[in-house]
Amino acid sequence: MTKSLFLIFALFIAALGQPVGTLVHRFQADMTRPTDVAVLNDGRICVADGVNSRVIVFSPAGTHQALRFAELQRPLGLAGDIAGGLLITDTQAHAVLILNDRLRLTARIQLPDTVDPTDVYPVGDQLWVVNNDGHQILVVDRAGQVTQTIGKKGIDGATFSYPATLSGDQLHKVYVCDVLNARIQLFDDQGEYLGQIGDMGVTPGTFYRPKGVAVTPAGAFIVTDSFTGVLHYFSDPTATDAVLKTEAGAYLRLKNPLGVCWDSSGLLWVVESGTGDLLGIRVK
Amino acid sequence: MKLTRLILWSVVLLLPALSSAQSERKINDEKRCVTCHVQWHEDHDQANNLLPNIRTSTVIDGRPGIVSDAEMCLSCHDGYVMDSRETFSSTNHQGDLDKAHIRIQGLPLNTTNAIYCGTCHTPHALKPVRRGSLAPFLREPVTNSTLCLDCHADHAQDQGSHPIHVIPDTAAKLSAETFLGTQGELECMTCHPIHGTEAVIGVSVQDRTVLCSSCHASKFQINSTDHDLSSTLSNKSGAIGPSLADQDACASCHVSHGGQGKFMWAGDLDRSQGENAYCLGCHSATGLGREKSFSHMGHPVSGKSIQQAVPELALKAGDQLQCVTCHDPHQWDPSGKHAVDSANEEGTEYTSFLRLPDDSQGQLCIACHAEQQAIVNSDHGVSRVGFQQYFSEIGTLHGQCSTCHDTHGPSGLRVTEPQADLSRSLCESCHTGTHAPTTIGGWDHPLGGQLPAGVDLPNFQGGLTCITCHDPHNWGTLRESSPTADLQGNDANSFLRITNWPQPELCLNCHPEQATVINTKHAIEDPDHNTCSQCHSPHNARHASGILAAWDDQAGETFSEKICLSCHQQGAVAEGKIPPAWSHPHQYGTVPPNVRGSGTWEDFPLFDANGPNRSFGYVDCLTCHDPHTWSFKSELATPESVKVAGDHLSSFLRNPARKTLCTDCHGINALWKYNYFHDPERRLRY
Repeated sequence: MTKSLFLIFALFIAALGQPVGTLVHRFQADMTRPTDVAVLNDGRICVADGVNSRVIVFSPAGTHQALRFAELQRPLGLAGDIAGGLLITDTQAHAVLILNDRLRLTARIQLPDTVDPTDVYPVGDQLWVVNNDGHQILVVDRAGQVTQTIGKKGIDGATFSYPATLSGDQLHKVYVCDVLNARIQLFDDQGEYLGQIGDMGVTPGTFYRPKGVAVTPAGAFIVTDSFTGVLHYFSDPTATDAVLKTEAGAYLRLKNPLGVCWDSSGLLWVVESGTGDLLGIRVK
Repeated sequence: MKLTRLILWSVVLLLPALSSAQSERKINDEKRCVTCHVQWHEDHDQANNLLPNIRTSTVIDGRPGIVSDAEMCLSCHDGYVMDSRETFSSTNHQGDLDKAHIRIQGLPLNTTNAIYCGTCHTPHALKPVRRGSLAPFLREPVTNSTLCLDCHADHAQDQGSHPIHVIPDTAAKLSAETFLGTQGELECMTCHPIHGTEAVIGVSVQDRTVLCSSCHASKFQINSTDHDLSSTLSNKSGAIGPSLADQDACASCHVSHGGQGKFMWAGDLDRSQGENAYCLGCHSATGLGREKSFSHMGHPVSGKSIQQAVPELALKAGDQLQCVTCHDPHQWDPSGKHAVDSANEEGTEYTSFLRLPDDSQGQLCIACHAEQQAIVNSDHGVSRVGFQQYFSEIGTLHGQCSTCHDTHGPSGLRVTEPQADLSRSLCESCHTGTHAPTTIGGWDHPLGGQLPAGVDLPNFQGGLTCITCHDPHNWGTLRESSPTADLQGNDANSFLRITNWPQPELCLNCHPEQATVINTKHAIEDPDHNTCSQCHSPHNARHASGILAAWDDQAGETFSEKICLSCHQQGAVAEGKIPPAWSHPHQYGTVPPNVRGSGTWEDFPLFDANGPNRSFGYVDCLTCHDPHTWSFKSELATPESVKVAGDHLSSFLRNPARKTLCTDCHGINALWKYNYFHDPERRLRY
């Protein structure tokens, strides 16, 4: 009975204000199942094309060039750095690469071979690094010292089952995609556990394979689900979930969406891994 | 009682905790199942479920579901749980594979009869072979190729495929990434990537160099040789492989699956030719290699077993002689230093795909024919100045053995003007003419005559030939410490098959009746000559009769006198036995049959000015004397020593002097005539 009431409520909310996602860009660069995306301060969009050992850098107009260098082996996670550069996690090299705003390698943080770094996000002067196989978050200073370890394998709060990506908001909260626990976990910038969003499921408000999370300055955030192909939209961490729909009213369904981020104009950039494309989506 | 109460309270207090743990485990287990079995999730049947409708096509054990659909697998293997993205981009073992092309044994397909992830994988089956291994969660093991052969049974080893389940000799040289069985065996996945864009590891277009060379690196010396058919015969097709132009150096001759014979031969094999069929298929009168066809008349290549191990050629005792005994079809030059492009290069005894060169040491041939090794240091050795000079002049200098032997030629010998007796032709091709360092000719030991019964020496059709007396590979016993090069031969060497010094063993093999000369006063020896060769010379003799070597023309008047008196004269070796008179009248005459009785011409030979004359001649020294036999009486034929004085029963007389030798012709006047002609003092009485 309770469950039915929740469903009716959810459908009511959806009918009132279902967000609409309009595809405005589809950028292609012969990428092979790309994973993550990050937007630089100058507006360029970077996509990790790790199978091809490169990062594709798109201009907002869609022109692109490939970023390759010897230290770049299998980039998986990307994040814009605070100073305008680019952060890259390389799962084959077990390293975090720090590039300046001219995309020149300025530092390389070598992690132990047991660490499987799938994503990175700058929090203050620290870098939060996802250790996917280790089911934990490593907090690393820019000299490469691990200053804090968050979580372990598990299903409870502040434990993980294959965390994938992370992002943050201006309130210094960090959002972690906990893939096989099918949820987003929130932490403050000190690593304190704040709670979780969502649970395993295949209905709005639940996740099956959450892979990417992106937070707007206003605190709204998007979660991609690579299995169902939908984009979950939350106006804030406490809000009820909505799923992006097309203008025609159908679910906006992508083929294996993974990394996602907002740019300064409010455009949502999503890696559609199944097609190998980068999509620009206007959310209203 | 107190204890019982304590236990009861403990149970009461622990029950909630146990219940909580069980509940958590239940949730955990449910979550673990629905991680893949999404249709078991309670949301699955909700009207607002987000699942796309297309995800219902997979059938496992007859039940539809979306478990192990590629999309489900990819939802974790996209890099964020495991990273198998290349697998999903591969063209190998992907969907839409027509089931008709393979015979899948007991593995599930999806509803469109295509293979999918779950055809081979299931999380509920085998655990990974090792952490991070290539093929986890398989329905059947790949470490022994079982899973592969479920569908590809036609590629099993007994179907003309490359061997599997064997430990390669080169295992230590393989890269660490090479897939091997649990004990290091070759398996299907050693060469074939299950996932990827290539059907075979390391193969780019037609070039299998990387793959094959990882184990067979030495075989790649075939590149740019005449056996690299992909380049040398690229415009041909048919006999081997579908099209030579489309093959690489390996694939021109070998196919990994469906080949013929143990070498996975790409073409047809005439199995009646045994292992040689691989070679003769091309090197036949109509084959691709017909320019180098094998005549079957040279060196034998089949039906013979190696008697002793030959490590130089990696042969074991009992191995069959084959083409590949001498040839390595992958290696043009045994030194490994062939030209960048040796195709269409005429072979020599140093190349020609030989396993060892026939160089100045005759390495290849002598590896088996070790007993012929002595030739290397003889005057028949190609490194000898005289030998080289001679063959360079006539333009037929080859390797040590191939200078005389033509391995694949019709006769086996390199003879330019063959006669019926080929070995004689070969010897005479050098030992005649102005270039020859040692010529024969003039008066030689006659050839062709039948060897006496019981003589076991090489012959031509039973008759005497050069190699009856000579073994061209063995110079013979040395009496000097110096090398044999350009050494003048004597009776102890000269490539004689049997030593002829100090005793004339070779001569006596065929002439045993002359052995009576031993121990007589005619048994004269010196450091270079035995008893026979003091008077006889088998080559370049001065006279055909008795192949007599030399004599003093001034010593006498007749044929025999010159010969005999060459020694029996003052200052010569037999000056102590100079006959005081010897002038039997030189009237020509015949010996009538009634005089000879049962005797033969040899009992009473006549001579003329040119030597023996069987029908008409005069009496000469050798008419009465046989220089080989001390006495006509067998018990006296071999004297006890050379000091035994001669008499009418010995003295090398052919017949009794007192009653027959002279009286046969002269009757009762014989003594008178004998005294008259042999005794100058008694002659005066008459």
